[in-house]
Amino acid sequence: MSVPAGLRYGVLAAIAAGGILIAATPWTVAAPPLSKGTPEAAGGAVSPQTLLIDSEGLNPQALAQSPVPNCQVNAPATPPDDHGKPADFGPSQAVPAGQPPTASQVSDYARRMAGMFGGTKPAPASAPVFAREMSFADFRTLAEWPDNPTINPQRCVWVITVHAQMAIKVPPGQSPQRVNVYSIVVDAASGTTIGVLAGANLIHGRGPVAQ
Amino acid sequence: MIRRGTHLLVTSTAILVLVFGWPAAAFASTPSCDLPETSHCYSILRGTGTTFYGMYSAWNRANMTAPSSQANPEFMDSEMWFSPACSSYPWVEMGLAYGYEGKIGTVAYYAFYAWKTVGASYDLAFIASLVPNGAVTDEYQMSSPTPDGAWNVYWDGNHYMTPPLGFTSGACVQQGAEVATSNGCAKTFDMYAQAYNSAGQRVNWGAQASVFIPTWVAGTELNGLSYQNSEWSWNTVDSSGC
Repeated sequence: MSVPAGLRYGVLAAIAAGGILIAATPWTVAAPPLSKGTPEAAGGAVSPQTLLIDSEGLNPQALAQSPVPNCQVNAPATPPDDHGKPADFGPSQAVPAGQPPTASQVSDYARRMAGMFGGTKPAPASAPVFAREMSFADFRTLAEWPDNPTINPQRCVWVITVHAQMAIKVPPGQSPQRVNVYSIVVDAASGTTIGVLAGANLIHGRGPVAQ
Repeated sequence: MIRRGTHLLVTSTAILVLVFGWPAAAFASTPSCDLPETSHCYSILRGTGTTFYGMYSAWNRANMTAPSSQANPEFMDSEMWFSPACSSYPWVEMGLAYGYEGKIGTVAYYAFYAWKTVGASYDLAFIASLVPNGAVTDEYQMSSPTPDGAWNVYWDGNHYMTPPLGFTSGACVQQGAEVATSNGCAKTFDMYAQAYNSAGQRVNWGAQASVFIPTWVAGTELNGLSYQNSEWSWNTVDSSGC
């Protein structure tokens, strides 16, 4: 694989945990920004930074190396304020404050978010999931989100795209709607959710995804 | 954040409730507000007929819960919507919700804002995870859109922004409850709204109407009353469990 100037090779990672395998291809820094995904957009080439997360543990060639995104996990400034309390879950299930979530936790969480607005259940384990760790600034470019003064642009975030149905909120009186793909962005250091983009295919993978 | 005395409203509420009464029924009745192919349930106040350039509201952090879990995420919220026309795209909204979001693996009570444009994704940004406290009131504001329709959002004075949404004014302002759970519970939210006119002044909505969607939720699952123009008080019919 040829790599243009300005790119730096990262490393490949695969973490087998709880039946989940995470595999990464080389990371880039100067990759051109992706346009915001369209609601029904499909596939496309695998981004150099993309992690393919599936339920069967494929991509065995990508074991035991770590991705190095262009961001700082502990960059100062806060993710969305977190003064809340975990509810309905035991301590073993909630990520303690200050403990970065694992990639498998992020993946599982992203699947369950399919039901966050009611009307749809969590995405099945077979649903393709693509994830990438990046700076909040890069996420904003990718998602075409405006600046958020409470979040350091260099802070590391996970951006996860799930190909599964999600019921979305609609204005009062409108018929219910669903999308077939959604993305979420999570603060990498704390696990605090920053945003949900229902219908956005932000992290692309090459289909079909092996299950 | 502001703290407001509410004894006057409580008194007037008590009088009105004595006169008219909250309809009495169990919230957990079926059909529910979480059927996959049905709309969410709403108890809202809707203002129409006047073009505004944003809206403001303040309401308390009343307790609300829903049987949300990792396996069965559900939610309910108290929020406000602003759009060029009712029941149409695009729109911008913000409010306070309870559901499966927040820190990974947790159910949270949180403030948020969200937006939707034609042909684009529905995007939701989290503002803060909070602890219910009916004595605390927060301020919500969506106003002063840029010429291309990027809206300025304020929560307790903290500034956020949306991307360009393609509209700068609207004739539909709404606030109240949105429910996507079969067995939720909410104490009374007293929501005091106004809207921004072309001069940037906060004014009452004027023409307004109570709206329950679907209509059968009125008095069977959700209550809602307006005690004065631009004000909406709502709760679940059975709020004993929260």
